[in-house]
Amino acid sequence: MSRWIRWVCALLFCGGVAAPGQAQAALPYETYSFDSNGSRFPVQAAYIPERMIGLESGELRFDSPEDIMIDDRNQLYVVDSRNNRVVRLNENYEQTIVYGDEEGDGELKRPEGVFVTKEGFVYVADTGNRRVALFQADGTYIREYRKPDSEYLPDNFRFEPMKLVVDQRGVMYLVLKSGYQGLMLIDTKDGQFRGFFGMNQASYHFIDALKRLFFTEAQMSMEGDKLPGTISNVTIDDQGLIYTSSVRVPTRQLKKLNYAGADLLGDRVYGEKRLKAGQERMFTDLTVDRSGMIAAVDNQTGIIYQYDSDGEILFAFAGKDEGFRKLGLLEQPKAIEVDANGKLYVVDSGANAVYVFRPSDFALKVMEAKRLTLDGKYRESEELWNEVLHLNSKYYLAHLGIGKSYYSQGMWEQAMDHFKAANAVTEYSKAFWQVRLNFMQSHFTLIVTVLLASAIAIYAIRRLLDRRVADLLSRYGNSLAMVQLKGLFRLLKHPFDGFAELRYHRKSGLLASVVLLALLYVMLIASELASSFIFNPRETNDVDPLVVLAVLLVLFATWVVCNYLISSIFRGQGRFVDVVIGSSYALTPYALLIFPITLVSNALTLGESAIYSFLTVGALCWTGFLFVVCVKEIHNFDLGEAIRIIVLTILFALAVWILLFIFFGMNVQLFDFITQVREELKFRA
Amino acid sequence: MRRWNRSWLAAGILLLVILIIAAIGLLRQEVRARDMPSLSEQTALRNTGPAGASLTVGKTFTPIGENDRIALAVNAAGQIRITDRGGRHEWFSNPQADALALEEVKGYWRNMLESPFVIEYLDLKGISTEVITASSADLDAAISFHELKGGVEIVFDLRKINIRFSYLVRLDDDHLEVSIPYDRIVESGDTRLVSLWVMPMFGAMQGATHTGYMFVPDGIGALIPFDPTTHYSYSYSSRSIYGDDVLYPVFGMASGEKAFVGIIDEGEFTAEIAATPGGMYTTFNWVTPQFVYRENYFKLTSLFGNGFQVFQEEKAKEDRRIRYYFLSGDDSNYAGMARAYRSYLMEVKGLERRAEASYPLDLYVMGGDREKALIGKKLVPVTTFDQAGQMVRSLAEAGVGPIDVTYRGWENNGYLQDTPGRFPPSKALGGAEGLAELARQVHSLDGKLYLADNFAVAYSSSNGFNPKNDAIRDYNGKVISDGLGLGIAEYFVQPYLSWHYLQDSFIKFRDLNVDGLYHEGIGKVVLSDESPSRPIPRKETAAVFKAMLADTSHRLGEARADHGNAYALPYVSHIGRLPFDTSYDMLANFKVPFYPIALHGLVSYSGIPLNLQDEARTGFLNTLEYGAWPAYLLTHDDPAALKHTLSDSIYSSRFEEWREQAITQYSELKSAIGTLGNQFIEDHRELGQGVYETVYEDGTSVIVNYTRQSYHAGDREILPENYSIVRGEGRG
Repeated sequence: MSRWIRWVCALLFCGGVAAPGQAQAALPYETYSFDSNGSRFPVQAAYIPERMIGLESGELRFDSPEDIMIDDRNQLYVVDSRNNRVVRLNENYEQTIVYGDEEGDGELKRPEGVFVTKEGFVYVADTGNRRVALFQADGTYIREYRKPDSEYLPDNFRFEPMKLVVDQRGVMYLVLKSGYQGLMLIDTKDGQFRGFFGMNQASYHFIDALKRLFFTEAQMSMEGDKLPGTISNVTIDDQGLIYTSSVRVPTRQLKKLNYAGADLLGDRVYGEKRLKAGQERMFTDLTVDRSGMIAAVDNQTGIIYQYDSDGEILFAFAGKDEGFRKLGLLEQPKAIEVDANGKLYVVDSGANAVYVFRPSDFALKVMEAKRLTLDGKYRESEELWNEVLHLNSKYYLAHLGIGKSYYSQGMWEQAMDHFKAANAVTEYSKAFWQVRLNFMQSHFTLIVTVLLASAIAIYAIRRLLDRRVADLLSRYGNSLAMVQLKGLFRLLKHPFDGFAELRYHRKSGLLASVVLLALLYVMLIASELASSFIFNPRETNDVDPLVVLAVLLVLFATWVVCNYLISSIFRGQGRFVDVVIGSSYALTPYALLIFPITLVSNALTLGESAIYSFLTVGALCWTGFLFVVCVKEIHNFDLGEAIRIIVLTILFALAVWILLFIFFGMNVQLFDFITQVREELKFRA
Repeated sequence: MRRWNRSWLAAGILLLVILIIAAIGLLRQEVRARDMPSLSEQTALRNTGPAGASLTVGKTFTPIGENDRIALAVNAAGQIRITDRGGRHEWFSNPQADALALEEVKGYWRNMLESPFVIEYLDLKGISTEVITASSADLDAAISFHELKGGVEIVFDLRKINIRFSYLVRLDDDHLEVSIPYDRIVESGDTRLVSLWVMPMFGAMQGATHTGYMFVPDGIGALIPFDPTTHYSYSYSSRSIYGDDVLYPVFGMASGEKAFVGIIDEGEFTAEIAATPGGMYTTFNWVTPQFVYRENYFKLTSLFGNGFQVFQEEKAKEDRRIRYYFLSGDDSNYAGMARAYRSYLMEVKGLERRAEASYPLDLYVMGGDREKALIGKKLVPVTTFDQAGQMVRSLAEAGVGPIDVTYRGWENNGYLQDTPGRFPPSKALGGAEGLAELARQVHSLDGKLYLADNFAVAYSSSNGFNPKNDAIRDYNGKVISDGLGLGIAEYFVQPYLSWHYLQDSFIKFRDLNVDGLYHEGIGKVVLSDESPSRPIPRKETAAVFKAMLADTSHRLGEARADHGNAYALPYVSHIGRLPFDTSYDMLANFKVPFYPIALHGLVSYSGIPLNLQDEARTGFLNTLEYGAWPAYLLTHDDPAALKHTLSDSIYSSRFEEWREQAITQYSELKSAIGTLGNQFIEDHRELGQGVYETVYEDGTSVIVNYTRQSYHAGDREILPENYSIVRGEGRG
């Protein structure tokens, strides 16, 4: 069906259609989710645009609305910024009270935020007046909070509150304009400054460290201050946890902060997993429903993301309104709020409207099931998850939920299947551990017997074979292949002598090196296919034999050529063919070991990953060592020289590739220049 | 000397190779020459002939003609008045003095209100190629009148920009016909016509003095209510007709006792419908067709997407004709407009009432699609022909019937993957024998078997398809291709080649003994081909598509189509996935089932399969409200298997999971509306918010309640998210 939608793009060019709205007289956006690999997959609509407030008939006309708050009685408070007021609507979206429109102390000027306490007090971030204004529920102005007197705040400190919440203790959390210090805390009783809260970390990269090391003071001052990203919005849940959205931060765009200011969501990236060029993540607001589910809106893409209370993505929907004028697409989303029925309200200052989205059955079921799972009520959640699967058999979180339920009931194997379908490695590994344990326990004697028997068998076969091999060697020992093979084994046992012999005794050949490379190729692919789900989580085998072949050959060829050239400059004695043969021989340990290691990994769990990495690293080290020896012996260098040559080879190879890229890049530019001239001439002619 | 010889030899060989390659290229071209008859004559322009003798028309409305239903009068400004019999109602092409008295706007917009047209043009001498929008008074128009049989020809000579065109206005029985022949458009200066809004203020009304709405063809149908209080900042534009959201070229306006509906009878392939709400520029609400003569597009000059906006050089070769029908009394609403459109479809387009009231289950079955394998790609089968047979039997045993089975993804290599090739039917699903056996089984259960196919697309260059020669090109002359993922590029086949492929396939389809084809492409998207050597306008593409649909039903028995654009209607027996929704336009957001009202009883239709609805209950209730067939898209295996294919958005379709629901919903729907299949929908209205009544010819009334509260209509109680049916006495 997605192909049915893709038709639309073609209309752009031939149907006289001006814009790529996705619609085919249907919802103007797609809903999708991310699987655990971070790739998108389509799901059915989670939210459906129901209506808009502020553009339809009636008195209500917003001008640049900036914020919204919904109280316990489902009343809406909309900050109507350019009309310098806050409007309260009843549950039928009819205007009941206006705050701050009367002349006097309570008059608002370009307010941008609002918060309503349980007692009904209305706090307005009166941005234009650089204060917070407090009203009674009926609209009576009570008092204001201006910049607090504090020795910690410099005189030139700009106090322009944009958004705010007030917790049950009566502490106000303010988002300030360009306030990279975090949220400002002010006590509502005495208006005193209580510090900053939830500041973002400035990102500090290796490059910055280098700059600090090498730059002069003048250069450093040119760099501009390294400021942390700023908080764009704040919200609070029933338990008093503070949630923030931030912009210009690499991770933790959304945070869930406890009293100590620690983020409970963890260090991950929110929003789109893969950005296009020129895009950044621009969360302007987030909201939390009663069960802790988080919805956040991104101003740049117009996409609304629904997360669970642990920050796991459930689905994403809506999109940017680029002149399409479709209900459900957003122009300048500034704030988002959820009501008791799960409806989402999005304030759009570009369209001067508040949009209402209602959750579909699918979304409601997913969120309820997820809530049960997060509460540890796995078995209760199972039925709901099965209903979710009935609606969407690809929704992997449902498999995760059902897997957890099976796990909690000790049904390890079934749990494993579902965890695999959910691509959930940690959980899969846990279930696998249990399965393995059971297997070991129930088959202990069998396992011991098999191990013993195979040890004896190997011993016997070896003795038998040794005699046979001796026979064979005596018969075919002088054939080229045998000589080369023997050279190989000698090389593994005695690398220094082995490579020297390669060079001087001709106990080697191109044929053998081709065979070795082919072996490596086959083993690479085989191990990719046979690798354990735990160490290589995947839904399908993404390995492409052609790509692997190309990479292998290109890398090998680059190494060989560069090493030969560099060695020649440094008076290495090896010929080109020696480098080819030597290098391929040096790859032998990796080629021989990678597949067995992969097989072993299938019996390991995540907890034993150290064993797996030890084996892999071991095989790599052996190969690396052989390369050093290879270079040393073939070119007759000493050890230090060999290592230097290897480093130089790698640098040279990099330089070659960079040059090639530049060359092709320039060619494309040149080609484009010619095309431009031609097209221009054709058009003007 | 020998070295010289060698060089010559090498050069000779090179030359030979080049020649051979060139010859192969030419030969290919030769093979590509197609023997399909050209339909360009069918779509050719008409010769209007010389204008009649001059007429003198006064400043006030001068009667021009009348018949027993309506009378026509024009005035010197080129404005039109229609009076119905008995003079009870009048419709004007422009607001008259009484309405204008309430209007404060002056100058430009005032001129527009009083003008019989609005023109968009380019001034070639201007510094920038900016489109200028202007009306009669702005352009120093000389308006003259000429005799015309049954009406009058009004000539607009825009002296300021040296453009001239004519309205041929004629009365015909119950409607007014306004045409703008291509050969009456003369551009004799340095200006170029971009688009023309014909009688844009026809029937325009003010929200302050009238309640009512504009009707626009957005998806299933949408209204823009007049609104006295709001100052909208934007207007509605349908964009291209038969494009994204528009299935039929109809617009209208209704207020109180009178209404009109306009149908673009000719020239709709390069037209749009525009509606402007009161309060935006003027106090008037107006809805109008906009005929586009020069499309603007982005001229690419660079490989990296640089370029500039330009307009087409040639103007679209289209004769234009609009029919206005005048509705009063009980007809003056959207249901009346839909009834008028229904009569139009029957009288002009030749649609006939369905012979039977049959009400089958519209069952779609997905066969398989391809995913990436270690080497190349492999088919992922989810329903074999044999399994489909079992599914149909299982449903039939539970009392479901008749069943119309439409098979998707039956092709060699899976759904559309082999296009433009398709045969033989996938071996993994059971091959040709398996499919023929399925047809036999379905027939033995009184069902029918259709194959879903899309002759308008080709995936990648295989099976003799060479995109450079065979694919549609855009305004930049570049082949249109769309990367679908999995290394597949989708191309649009040139229309005549599509037809050729279809013709070539008929024999094989007949061998499979299927009842017809379900066309997924050609009833849905119609593109122009801008290949520089032989451009094909959308009008001609549609003509080819119509011929393809006609051929299909002629050769195989039946043609069905996806989406159901109006041009396809006369040739199809059933429409699948008819949109039951609007495009969610912010202005036109009041949904009405205009299209189902017009179509019910003429052509059967179904919506999105009930197992793939975003809101399951709403989907079911829509089926009831619109009198549609229930559709299901089912597979034998879990469609999760298709996750890594292009068919990844079938969320849930496993037969075992949906069998019970399909059976109960089908029997419920059949007993509710199963006998109404060839009746017309007489009326439709909103009883309360979220509660709608559909009334059929025999008086049967279906009330559907979408809300969460019970609704009381007289003595009928309609439960939340439920419906109520009262049978009629007989055909009314």
